[in-house]
This record gives sequence, structure tokens and C-alpha cells, in this order.
Amino acid sequence: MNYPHLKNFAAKNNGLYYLKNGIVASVTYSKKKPFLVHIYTPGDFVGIDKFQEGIGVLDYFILTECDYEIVNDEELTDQKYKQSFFDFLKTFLHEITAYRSESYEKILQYNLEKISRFSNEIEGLPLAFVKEMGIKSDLDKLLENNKIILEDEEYKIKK
Amino acid sequence: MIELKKNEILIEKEEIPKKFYYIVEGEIEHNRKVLGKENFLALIHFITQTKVNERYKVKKNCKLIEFSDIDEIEEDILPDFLKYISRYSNNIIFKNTLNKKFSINELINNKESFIKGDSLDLDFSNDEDLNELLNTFDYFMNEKESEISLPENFDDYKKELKDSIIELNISKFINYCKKGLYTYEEEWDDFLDELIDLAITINDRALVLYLLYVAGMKINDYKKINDLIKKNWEFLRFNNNNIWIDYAMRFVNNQLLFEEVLKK
Repeated sequence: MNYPHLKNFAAKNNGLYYLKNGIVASVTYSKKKPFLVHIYTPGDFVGIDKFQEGIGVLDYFILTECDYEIVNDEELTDQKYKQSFFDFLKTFLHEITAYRSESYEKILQYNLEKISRFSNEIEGLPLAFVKEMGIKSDLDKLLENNKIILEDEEYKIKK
Repeated sequence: MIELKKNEILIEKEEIPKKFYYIVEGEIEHNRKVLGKENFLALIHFITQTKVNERYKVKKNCKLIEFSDIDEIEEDILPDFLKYISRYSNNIIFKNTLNKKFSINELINNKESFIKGDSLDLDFSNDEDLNELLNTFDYFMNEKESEISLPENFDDYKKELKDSIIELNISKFINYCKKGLYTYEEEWDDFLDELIDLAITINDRALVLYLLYVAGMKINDYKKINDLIKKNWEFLRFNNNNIWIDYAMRFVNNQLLFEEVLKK
């Protein structure tokens, strides 16, 4: 893979990645194809999927220049991280709960919107990443329906 | 801590909860399900400030901890809380994308198909080099392992592994390594360092990567793993940048780990 990934899938990590700068995408796989699951932006804690089974179940790819810190599980309630962590959890649970009643197309659009709002480096999902991950057909479908645009080698939300 | 008696109603139907709860003792009935100790109640409705669809009624006398905000959660129940959130979000993610309940087994198989290029949506599904490489790994991993019997003591095992690198018999090495990974109680820290040096001597970058992944499994101290990576970074970074090998090694690593998890 040309896009670097964070060690998570199948790994027993102690800690979460506290994203200080940059954009990270989580990916999962169905029998037929991969799916972009969620976009993480600065201030997010990446990797809470591991708490269910004690082992990471999502792949995380870094889409931009990225700066992160590994915060050990025991440190999450330290004064230094506690507020940021719980703030993240609240937002994340809102987002995930909203996903419950939305179509996958809507979720993709929402995540493209997130990239455009939170990154100075990219405005959407890089075409190279989309090709590499095998999620091109989902984005092309949105493109055909005029929901998004493909410009400068990036799939972007229409402004 | 609050205590409730049987048949009391904790939260009425259609109510927007002002608090959420953690069951220390007893049982609560909700939506025809019985929730026992170490469960969280109304957490998601509390956070999203939405109405609960069914009432929460006490089935067996209960002791509950109540919270007005998630940052009130204390360290001792934080692991349960994180597990709850993880399970909740994983289930939604997998329901949304796979239209199924979360299952580790299924996920591994799916990822395996993806890496092998079985999916239709990929640009590299006809990559012969990749397929050949993966088949070779399948051969290494699946067909030879049953023929191996491991030596009883760790020193003999170490010798077998070192010899197989020196003899350039990487297939034997990987099979021995895999089979013995969780057999011996001794520490692997210094031994892995030695093995990596040997792998560098025979200029095998894939093997160095493999050993680093093994280090990820065998060494709990991140600092030690980082030291190994730092020490060998120049070799890894500038020596034959073959992305498929990286990818395939990750796949092998995942398989090894999951097998361990599923055995438990």
C-alpha cells in the first residue's frame, strides 16, 4: 500500500492514536469490496474499535501529513487527555448514531464534507487512495448522480 | 449509587433521559431484553438527547451508578464503558457496510479476499506477481506446518531457526517460527534482534519485516520494538521498496494474530 497505515487491524495495542494534525480514514471489508467507514480529523482519538474484542478490527490509513501521539489506555482519564477524549467520544457517538439511519452514499458525502472542512492539504478523497482501496465504484456512483465532483485528482463535495 | 426495587420504572417510554446508568447489581428489563450487571443504560439516548423507545423497568432489585455526563465515569468502570462504545460503534459500522452483525471471522475472510484480489472493484486483481507471492505464502503457511515437530527446549528451537536462515530455507523458517510462536515461555527480545541481524546478512528485506511483525506480537514494550525498527530503519527504508511484500507480510501477520485470538 502506498498510503501509510496505523497499526491496528488484528493488533493488540495498548493505547489510542490521538490525532494532532492530519486526516485519517478507516476502512473495512465486505466479501465483495472495501468500504470507507469514517474520516478522523485533528483532535480525534483513533482506534476505539479495539475495545470490543481486545484487538483492532478496522484499517486506518493516513491521507495527509500527519502528527499523532499514542495515548495509553490508562492515560485516557489523565487530566491532560480526559476532556479531549470525552469530547471526541460525544461527537463520535453522535456521528455513528446518525450513520445508523443513513444510506452508505450519504455517509460517504458526509465524510467528504469533513475532509474539506478539516484539512488544509486536501479538499477531498485523493483519487490514488480511492483506486488503491478499491472504493472507486461507490464514489463514481456519487459522481454520476452529481453529488460530488472529481477535480485535481480528488473526489470532492460540491460547494 | 441509587437502589431500586423490583417493578420500579427507571425511565419511561418516550422520555429523553437526563442521566444514564451503570448496573452494579440486579437486572433491568428493556425492550424485552434483560440487562444484567456491568451494562450501561440509556447511554446513547442520553448523549444524543433522543427519546427512549421502550421503558426501562427493574426486574430484580438493582444498584445503579448514575451519571449526568460521560466525563463523570471513573477509572474502574472505564474499561466496561469503552467496550460498550466499541461494540456499539462496531455493530453500526458493520451493519451499515456489510449489512450484518460484527464478526471477526467474517472480517478476516473478507480482508483476505481483498488482499488476494478476489474483489471485482480493484485495479490490481490480475497482478500476477502478487498472486504468485500470496500463493507462495499459502504454501509456506498452510501445507508444511503439519510436518513439523518442535524441539522441547528453547535453545534447540533457536538453533533450528537460525540454521534455517543461514541455509536460506525461509519456508522452513516461517513454519518453525509460526508453530513455535506461543510454545516457549522464554523471552524473545534479544533473540529477535539476532534473527534480524541474520536476515540482514542474507539481504532479505521481507524477512526483516516479518521479524518486526513477530516482534510486535512477542514484545510488549513499545520502546523495544521501536528500538528494533530504528536500528534497522536504513535497511528497511532503502532496500528494495516492494510494496506488495509489505502488504503480504501484513496479511500473514494478521492471520497469525487472529488464529491466536480465536483459539482462546
